[in-house]
Amino acid sequence: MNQYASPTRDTITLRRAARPARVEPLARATVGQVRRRPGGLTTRDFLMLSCSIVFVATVGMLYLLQSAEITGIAHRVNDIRESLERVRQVNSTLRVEAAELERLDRIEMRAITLGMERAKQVQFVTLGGSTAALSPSAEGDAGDSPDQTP
Amino acid sequence: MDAERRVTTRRRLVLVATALGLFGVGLLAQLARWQLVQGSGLAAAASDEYVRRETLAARRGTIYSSDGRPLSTDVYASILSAAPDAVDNPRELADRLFPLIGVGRDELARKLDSDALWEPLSDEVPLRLADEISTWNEPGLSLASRLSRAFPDAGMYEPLLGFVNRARDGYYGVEGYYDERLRGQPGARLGELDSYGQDVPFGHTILEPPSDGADLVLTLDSRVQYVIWRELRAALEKYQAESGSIIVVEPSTGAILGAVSLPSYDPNGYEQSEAKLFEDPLVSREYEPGSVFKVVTMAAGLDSGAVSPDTVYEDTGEFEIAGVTIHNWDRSAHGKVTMTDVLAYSLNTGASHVSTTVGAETFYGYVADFGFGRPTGVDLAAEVAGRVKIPGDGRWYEADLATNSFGQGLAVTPLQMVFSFAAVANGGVLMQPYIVQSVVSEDGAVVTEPRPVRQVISRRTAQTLTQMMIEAVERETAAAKVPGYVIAGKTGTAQIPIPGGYDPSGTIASFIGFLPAEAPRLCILIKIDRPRASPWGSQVAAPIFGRVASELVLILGIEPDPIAVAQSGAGQ
Repeated sequence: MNQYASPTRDTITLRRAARPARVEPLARATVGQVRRRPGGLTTRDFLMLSCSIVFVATVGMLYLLQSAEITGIAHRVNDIRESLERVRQVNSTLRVEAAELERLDRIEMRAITLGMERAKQVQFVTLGGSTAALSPSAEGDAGDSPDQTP
Repeated sequence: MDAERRVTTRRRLVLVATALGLFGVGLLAQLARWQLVQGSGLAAAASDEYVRRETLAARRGTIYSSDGRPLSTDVYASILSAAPDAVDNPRELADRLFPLIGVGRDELARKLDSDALWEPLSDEVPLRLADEISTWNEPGLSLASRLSRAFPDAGMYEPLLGFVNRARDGYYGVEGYYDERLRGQPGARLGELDSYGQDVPFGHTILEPPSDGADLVLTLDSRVQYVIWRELRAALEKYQAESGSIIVVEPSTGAILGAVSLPSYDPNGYEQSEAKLFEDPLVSREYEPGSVFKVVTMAAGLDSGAVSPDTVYEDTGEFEIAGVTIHNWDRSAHGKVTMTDVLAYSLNTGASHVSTTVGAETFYGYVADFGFGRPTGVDLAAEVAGRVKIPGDGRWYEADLATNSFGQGLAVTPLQMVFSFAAVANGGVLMQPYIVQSVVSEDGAVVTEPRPVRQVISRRTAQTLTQMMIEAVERETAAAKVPGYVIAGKTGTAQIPIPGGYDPSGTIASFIGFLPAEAPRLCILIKIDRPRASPWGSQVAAPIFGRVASELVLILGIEPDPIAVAQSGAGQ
């Protein structure tokens, strides 16, 4: 006798016992959740993945932007530092050039070229008896005062 | 059969395993060697690949005059180099470059066309020209900056200031003496740098900033220095002299207000100068001072009580000592003369009389107290002590007591000589000479305080001696006088020693004086070596003193002496 030809009580019992195990997960799922995308992802998974990608991309983008900006600033700082150093260098050179132009022999030569000449006579004017005040001047400036001596 | 194959297979496996094991052990040993034995060296080699250490040069301190003029300072110049391979047209580039950098056209063309990988062209390209060259965008040229020393008043302050060589070391004078303080400490930048030497963003960089050298403010007044430089230059030409020196000091402090020696050299191109010019004659060369030394002798005589200004001495024109006969400069006898006359007429016999009356021990005691025979301790490099023979040293003879009294047979430096006069001017107190007024660093300024060395003679003796020196100038050295001021001073005409005697063809003409004599502000030494126009100090050095002093009193605002003004007025 073929035991599968007519189900016995035992087999029916087995089927009934097995059915809830297969159906149980489906019983807790919502209707929307059971929809599947062609790739096999649920909508929720898809959204989570998309958000993650967008987030990572945004963070990466921000990082790159910031990094680029910092790199740019660093280069600008370097440029400014170099400019400052250059200004310092030029300043020191100009200071020396100014000192060379202020050489007293050069100034005296210039003064002579302009027609000036050294005082030939210096006169002293005595003020208030005991105090002597110094007054260098060119010859003839102070007239013939008896207080003046050559 | 199977058993035999299994044995063979096992042997092969053992061999392979052994080989692998040995390889592993070798690998581990090598790793251990790299890590433990060579670890630090390899780590350093690795860091060298991406970490560069850049030395940051410290700025050498600037030297200023007391009135704020920079006398020696750091400037930047550019080093110009070429990579000949990258130069397209060497001849054309040489044509453009040679007028700018002071290198010959042919030499430049040869360098630019050479097979060398790298050719230095010039290391003294001024920044302005470097900027112009950089605008050419010539790929074969490279510019880098470097520090160099500049002396705006080149020739006027040398050899007093000294110079700085390519390695940034200071030599001679102030640069040499204060080299450690001036040079500073170089810094370093250690970090990840790109190929252009710039910081890698986010790279780890350690910066050790350089510590710049201290600035020095000298006691030298640039106006005083200019006047004495100009006058000395004119005097050397006028009197056809070989060389000369002028020093101006402030007797009350010991500050050196001006000091010049000619001929000098250009410190900006010291390599082209003779090495003998680097030494400062003011402190590094000795000379026999001649009659100016009679002031020291007279100071010893007066202070010891051996003589007074009115002590009378019979001058026969000769003075005998230990078989040596001393003559006066004019070989004449002056009869009865006072000690004031001895100074005024500059009598060698009178000076010999004083020194022998004082006695050797006392005389050389005063000579030492005035600072002769030892360095003054001035803050200048390469100072010498001078030479003074003393009884018992094996070189001294009795006759030296007489010859030394009028400045022969001993050697002094001009600085020692002027400071002995400054001691008389300062009431008998010898001051410590100094040339640096203050040292200014990041830690603040250190100011030099005037420091008395010792009381050489009493104030009373100093005043008496000053009166005698005033008298000497009034009577015999009119050329040194300055209208409105009382001058105290002494002339000197010294013979120049040569092997076997004295050079008959030349003298050293000098004059040392101070003013106003009653309250001295300036003490001035004039020294002219081998003047050909006249050998005498009274004719060569005294007039220079007069010109220098009359200009300096105006510059420094030194009030005239009312008595002298009145006398000058009455004289009119």
